[in-house]
Amino acid sequence: MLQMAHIKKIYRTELVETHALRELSVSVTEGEFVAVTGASGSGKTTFLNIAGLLESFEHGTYLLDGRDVSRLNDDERSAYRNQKIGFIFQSFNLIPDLDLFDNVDVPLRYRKMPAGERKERIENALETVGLASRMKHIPSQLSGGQQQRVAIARALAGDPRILLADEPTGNLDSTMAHQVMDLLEQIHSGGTTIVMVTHDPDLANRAERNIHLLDGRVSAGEATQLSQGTLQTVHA
Amino acid sequence: MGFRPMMSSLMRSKTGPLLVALQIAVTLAIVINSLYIVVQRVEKIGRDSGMDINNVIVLYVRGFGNDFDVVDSITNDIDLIKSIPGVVTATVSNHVPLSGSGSGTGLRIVADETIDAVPTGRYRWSEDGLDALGIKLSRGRNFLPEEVNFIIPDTDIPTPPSILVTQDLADDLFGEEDALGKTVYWGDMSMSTIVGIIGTMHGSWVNWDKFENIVIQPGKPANTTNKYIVRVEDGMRDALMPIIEQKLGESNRRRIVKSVRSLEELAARQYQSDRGMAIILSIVISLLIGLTALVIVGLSSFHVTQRTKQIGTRRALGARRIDIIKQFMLENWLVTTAGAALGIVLTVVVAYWLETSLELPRLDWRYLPPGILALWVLSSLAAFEPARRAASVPPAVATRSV
Amino acid sequence: MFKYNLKLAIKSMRRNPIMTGLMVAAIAVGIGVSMTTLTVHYMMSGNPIPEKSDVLLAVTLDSWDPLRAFDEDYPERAPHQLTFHDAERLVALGKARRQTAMFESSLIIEPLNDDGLPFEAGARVTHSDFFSMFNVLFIYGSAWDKAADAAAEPVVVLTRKLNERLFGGIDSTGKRLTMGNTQFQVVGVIDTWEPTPRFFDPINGGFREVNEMFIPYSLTRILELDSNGSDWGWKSEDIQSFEQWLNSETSWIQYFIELDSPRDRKEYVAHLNDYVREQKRLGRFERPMNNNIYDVMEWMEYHEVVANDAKVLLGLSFMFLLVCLLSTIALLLTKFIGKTAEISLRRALGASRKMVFEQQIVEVGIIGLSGGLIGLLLATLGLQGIKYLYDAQAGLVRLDWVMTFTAIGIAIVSGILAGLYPAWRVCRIPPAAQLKTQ
Repeated sequence: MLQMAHIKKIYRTELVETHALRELSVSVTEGEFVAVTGASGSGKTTFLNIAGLLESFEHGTYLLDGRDVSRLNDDERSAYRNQKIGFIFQSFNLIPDLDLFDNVDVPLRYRKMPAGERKERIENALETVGLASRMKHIPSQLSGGQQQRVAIARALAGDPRILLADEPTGNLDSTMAHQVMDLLEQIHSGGTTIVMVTHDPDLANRAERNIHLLDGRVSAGEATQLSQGTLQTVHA
Repeated sequence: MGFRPMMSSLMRSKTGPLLVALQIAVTLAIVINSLYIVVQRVEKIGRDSGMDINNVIVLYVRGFGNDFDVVDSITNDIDLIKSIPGVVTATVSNHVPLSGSGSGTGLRIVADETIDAVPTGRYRWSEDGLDALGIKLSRGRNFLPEEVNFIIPDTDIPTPPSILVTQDLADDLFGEEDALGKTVYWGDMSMSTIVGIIGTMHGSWVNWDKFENIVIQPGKPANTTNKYIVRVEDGMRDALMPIIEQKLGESNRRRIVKSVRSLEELAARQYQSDRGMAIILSIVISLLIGLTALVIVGLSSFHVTQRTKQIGTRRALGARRIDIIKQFMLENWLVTTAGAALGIVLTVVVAYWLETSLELPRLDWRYLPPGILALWVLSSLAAFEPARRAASVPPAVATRSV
Repeated sequence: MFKYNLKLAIKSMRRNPIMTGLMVAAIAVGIGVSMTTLTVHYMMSGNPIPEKSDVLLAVTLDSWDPLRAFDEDYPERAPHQLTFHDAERLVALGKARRQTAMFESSLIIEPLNDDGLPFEAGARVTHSDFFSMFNVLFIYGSAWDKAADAAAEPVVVLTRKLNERLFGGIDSTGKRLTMGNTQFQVVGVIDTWEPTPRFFDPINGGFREVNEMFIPYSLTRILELDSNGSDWGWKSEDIQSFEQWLNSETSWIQYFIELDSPRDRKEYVAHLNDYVREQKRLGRFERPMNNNIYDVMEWMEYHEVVANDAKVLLGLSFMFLLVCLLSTIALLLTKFIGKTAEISLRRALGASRKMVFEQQIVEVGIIGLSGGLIGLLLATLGLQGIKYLYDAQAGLVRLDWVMTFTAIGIAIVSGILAGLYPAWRVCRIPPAAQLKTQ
């Protein structure tokens, strides 16, 4: 599903050059639930940005769902994000002025889907996360956990090939965190590929496999953190 | 983004957009009504006067002393002026068109006091009068020299039989009929015959609705203060004004030249308040448009900054740059349309107030569509740069933790 | 607390100078435009002689055409000027405390020495009461007296300006001038007098300069003085001499009286009616009885001295101010929304709602004040512009203290009004609302 090889990402300012990613190679097969861990500054967020086509990169290749997405233009990347990827953000990123229905609706609108089909998908997605009854509420009327579940519904509504989650439980208390993780596992069991960035080892353990980043590359110590599932190693 | 979600989003934080819409509405009302007034005034000033205004000089003279012979003085003066190279011709006149000073009277087509007379301005000048102002006769003939006599105040002058009238006066008097050769009656029931008709001519008072009604009698008024109307060749006016003044001054020390003015200057003074109004309103219109545009730019930019996170999220979810631009432009368009709708109502209200309380002419409704279009274009232009900036917010903003 | 709020306000304003600048500019321009038109309107409609405007009255008698009214648009009005002999006779009857008949004329003043040139000067031909009626101040000498009026003495009162031209500004009482083939003696010089509007003669221009000199009315016959003003006649009369002109039914004389109090108005009108009845017996005044008197403010209104355009501009410029206010509210609202983090922090640290509200009001008050001061400057410029465009009298475009304080007052009030809603919105922010990252 996701194959990155020798990815290099450099941030340049007037004074400083930061090598956020050096020679990063990662591979995720379809249907996997992978956790990407690492301390802050390790390049987790950058990895996610690149994986999600939110940023471009200097060097290397990236194949997503069988297609080379290394050199797409802005419009093409937008289309890919819209159709193939579902995002879940740490701070939920719901649009405060819109009700839940309209929030979940956002990515579908960019796909120019007819109204009837959108309505059906939205209702199903909200049903899946258990918030269909509150469709007309606005985010500020919901708890953090509920907001994140709406965000998940938003990510799911478009039938993505892969879900990218950035610290999905970072802003939640432990009860809500568990709820959200349960939901993710439920979604995974349906066959969806999930890549989750987290710094919490307990959460990482709920994934099938763990990729540990250090200084912009996959750390050699990954093998020791296996809990279950197949071992995937660095590709040359 | 769809229309309906945008509306419900606007409704939730409606104060800001409402204020902008209101501002657009009031701006529209002021601008359209003011523009109409400006155009009215410019048109008023630009009316064809029927005279060669740029080449006419007016002199106000007055003699003094016990045995001052006015008739003699006028004859000599006019002859002298005519002899100056560059002068086309000159006449003495009772009043000067477009000067703010004139004589008015009434004419009737029957000798009946009980019928209301048609109001008209009245001039008295010699056979050179028409030429001195560059007026063209459209029909009939000018005065003959033998018809022109001196008019001395407080003496008995029989009413001269021939007169010239403007077409407007002829229409007011005789309607569709041909006025040439017809008889009219003065206030004292004496009569005159129309021997010539002038197409268009302006009288002394530019704000009088009948100022294109003019009757001209042959005669050379010889009053205490007299007015000489002089026409000169193209381009020679400014050079000749001091020359004429000097030559007259030298020729007779008992007759002072009170002032020498160009007809252009006199006319401009009559239109001064109209010109002033047009200029002031134009300034107000410009300021208003500038302010509204700046506010739209300012507020739009602010909204972009406020919603940076949201923009990033949308981009992450698949919005292309063009989608973001469309979103912001559509929001702007919604607010502008609401403002324009309210603005139309306000424009009509203000126009009504101007017409009824302040007796201004009724607004021509055809000013509304171009006004609204211009407003729409202006608003879109103002909102475009912020929208463009919004579109360049990178998708990676979505994953930043603030 | 105020000083602290002041400090905070200035800091806040500096943080986003463009926003602040735009707000101050919006208020300044709004004030500038509306104060310009308001001042002109105020000056035009002001009472030029408030201390006695209700006891100075213009007289009109309806000696017009029996077949039609003087003014078709206002058929209840009599001609606004009197005939020469009506004026003369009313003055002779002398029923009011003071009275004067007058008109504008002009005379050529012959040179005082050999190398001077003769020139024409405008004159107001009037009675001695004119000066005391209209509170005209003298710098040298005084008006002529009633005896001089009766004897038609060739005396003249100069304005300061004319006195400077003729005599270099010295005390010229007693000096002689030759005009109209007559030797005149200067009896007084008046100080600069620019009533705004020129209430005693709005017919010939409500905002023109006061005439250059004053001479007795009784000289009219002797010098055969022509009127420079407007005259109105309805009857075709055979006029072969100046005397016949003076006796004609042409209205060209302005007539003013001074009464002891406004309560005496009815009595005076009754006196006018008696006079007209007597004239009717002589075959004149064929119209129904329609004699009226108007005090100064009524006379100004009659002649619509406040130009229509001035009213239009006033209305439009207050709408303009409204737009400026709306701009300011919108800008303030967005600015305050941007401050939510700071505000909620302050609330968390103990600021009460009232304190937050006060802080915002101080800020908008300052914006209003700055806008007002700059607006005053713009208004001054605007008034100069008006003076240039309309060739206006200086008195018309002056910003007196009343207008200055009005300007600042409007600015501050506008600023605060504009800021009320945003300030209220802001102080409702709960203390901890924005402390977490969204």
